[in-house]
Amino acid sequence: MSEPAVVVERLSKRYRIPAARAAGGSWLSRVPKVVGRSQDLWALRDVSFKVAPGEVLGIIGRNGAGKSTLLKVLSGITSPTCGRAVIRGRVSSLLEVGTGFHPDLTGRENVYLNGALLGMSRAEIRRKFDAIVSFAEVEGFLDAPIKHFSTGMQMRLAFAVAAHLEGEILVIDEALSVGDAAFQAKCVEAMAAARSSGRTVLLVSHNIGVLRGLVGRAILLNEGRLEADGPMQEVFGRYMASGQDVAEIDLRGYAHRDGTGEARIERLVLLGPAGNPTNHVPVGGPLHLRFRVRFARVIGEPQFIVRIYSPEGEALVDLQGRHDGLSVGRASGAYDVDVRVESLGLYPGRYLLSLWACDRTLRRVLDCAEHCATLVVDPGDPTGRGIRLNPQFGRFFVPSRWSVRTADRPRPLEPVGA
Amino acid sequence: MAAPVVELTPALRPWPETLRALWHRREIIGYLAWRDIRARYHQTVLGATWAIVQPLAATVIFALVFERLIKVSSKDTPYPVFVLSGLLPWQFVATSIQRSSLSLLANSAMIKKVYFPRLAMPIAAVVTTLVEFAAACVVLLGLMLYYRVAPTAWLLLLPAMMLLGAGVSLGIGLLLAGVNCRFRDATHAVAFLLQMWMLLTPIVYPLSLVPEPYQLYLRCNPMTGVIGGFRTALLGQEPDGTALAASAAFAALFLVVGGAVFRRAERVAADLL
Repeated sequence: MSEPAVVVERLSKRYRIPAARAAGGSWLSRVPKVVGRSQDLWALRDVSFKVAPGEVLGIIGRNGAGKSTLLKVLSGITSPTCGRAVIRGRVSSLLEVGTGFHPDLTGRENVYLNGALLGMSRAEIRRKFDAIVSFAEVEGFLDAPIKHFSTGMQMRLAFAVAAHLEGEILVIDEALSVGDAAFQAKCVEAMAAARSSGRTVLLVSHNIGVLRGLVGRAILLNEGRLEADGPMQEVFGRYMASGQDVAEIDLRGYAHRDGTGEARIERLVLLGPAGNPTNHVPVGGPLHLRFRVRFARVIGEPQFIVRIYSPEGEALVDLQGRHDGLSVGRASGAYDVDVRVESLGLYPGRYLLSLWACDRTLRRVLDCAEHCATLVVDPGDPTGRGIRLNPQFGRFFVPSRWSVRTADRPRPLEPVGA
Repeated sequence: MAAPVVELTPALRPWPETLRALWHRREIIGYLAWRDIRARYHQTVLGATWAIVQPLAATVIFALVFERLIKVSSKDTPYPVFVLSGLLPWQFVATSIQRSSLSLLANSAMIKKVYFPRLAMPIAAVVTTLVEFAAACVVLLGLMLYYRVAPTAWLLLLPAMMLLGAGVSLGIGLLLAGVNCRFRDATHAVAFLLQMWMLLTPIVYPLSLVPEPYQLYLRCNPMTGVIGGFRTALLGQEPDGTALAASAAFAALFLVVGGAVFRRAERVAADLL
């Protein structure tokens, strides 16, 4: 039993990105693309670590750091370029909820198909079928094509199948962080159950809040390399420290982003009260940030969001343009967006900023620069009394009014109408 | 029971291991085939009848054009029975090749998100087509009944002949599926080449119609053996040893080459698709 469940040794994965072909070139100009001239991208570089049986390992890192590639290699979806991984035990990997779901098939049929793809035998699915259905809360709809299901029902059904996987080693991507709050809670519960049943879990998530509760140890990936390996808190500290500690940030080459690319967040400036660039704000001081968004095409009523994250990765402040009634109309070209917070009540410490540009419904992310800036809140004097706020005891400074009166002796009633 | 130990390395997995993994997860082939059949005939009024309508219509057209207009003679076999008994196995092989060569592309979303033996996809494509072929055979049986063509003891060879057809189509399908991962050109070439190939196979005309010196070339066409074999099994025609041997040799060759190409492609399919 002392043998590790997962051993990863100098694992590397290279992707070949074909060199861009000149627009309007003849077919002959495509030949070099076939023959060679490609760029190498090392999604993983010399990554080594071990996971003991029953251990729950968190994998963190920004977008493009190699987390998903690592899971794909460990699941056998793609093969490594060099190095190796040895896995002892049956792997159940869940990189996406509802893989292989076919809209024309019924709920019942999809459970069998999806279960088979995830590695369950027909007998195993039949045995667990009732449990899956009641977990998903879709009884009564089982024989309808799932295209008539709501998205929520499809998600629940898909997750229910996954929650009944039996592998000794679970490999899970943050795919699970979709769905409503109740559903997410269910996912976390299921993962906690997997942990307490002694299974080995490898978990990738951006939602550090989820990871914190489940994971003891974490590894940090950065540009394909293993940057830290140790207790969750320590590794997360490293992750936070790698944010950019500057006030003016050119985001055009920023790699850790998400979205369709219909917009591009190009730069971000953090400004002090006098309009000077600074990423330091005293507790209770004003925060002013300005970012430039360029739209690749016309977008109706785009929405902008700025989020501030705690050192633990928890979203603390959610600033949205629509909260203030911001309306851009039909947007095209470039815009400078100014966001002003009169008094930022965060306790002293380092925080991370993420920026979003979304469509009007917030469902489609046009661009997202994730954790692209560090905001430092300096101990200020918001009380005016020279008191230092201790971030150990709270997160936000909220002005409050206090008064006291003795409760020992009733005060004499004041004469009415006197 | 000891937990299985899997080693993931850049090296190709040896064939026995690949086939063992496929055997272990063989249920997936059935699920994929059944999903495709269900999805293909879902929301159609005629449902699986479509698998029957197409060859029937083709038989009528070919009978009109080749028997009545061009006066192709199929000797003692009634022409409609003759042509349908050629069209069905041809369609089985041609459709199998097309579907299996596209199977990785069609399932690319799955390939990127979950591991299962990739061979299951082209094999499922052939199985799907085999099911449709079996349904269409009902038409042929009806036609044989109508023209009073009785099956002979050769009928026992039918499974072997179908295996031969499946071998040829899977071999070519694997090869093309592998190539398709990198160069989609294969998709465009297939439809065109299949049309040419059909004309060069004795389907709507008997082999005896071809001038003697050219017959040998035609018998080396792997499809000649498959079609001839099917006609032997169903109509009791004298088997053509040369053509059958050529078919079997090609099937083996295609399976080996196609298998090798496919295995190299499947390792990077998730990255390329």
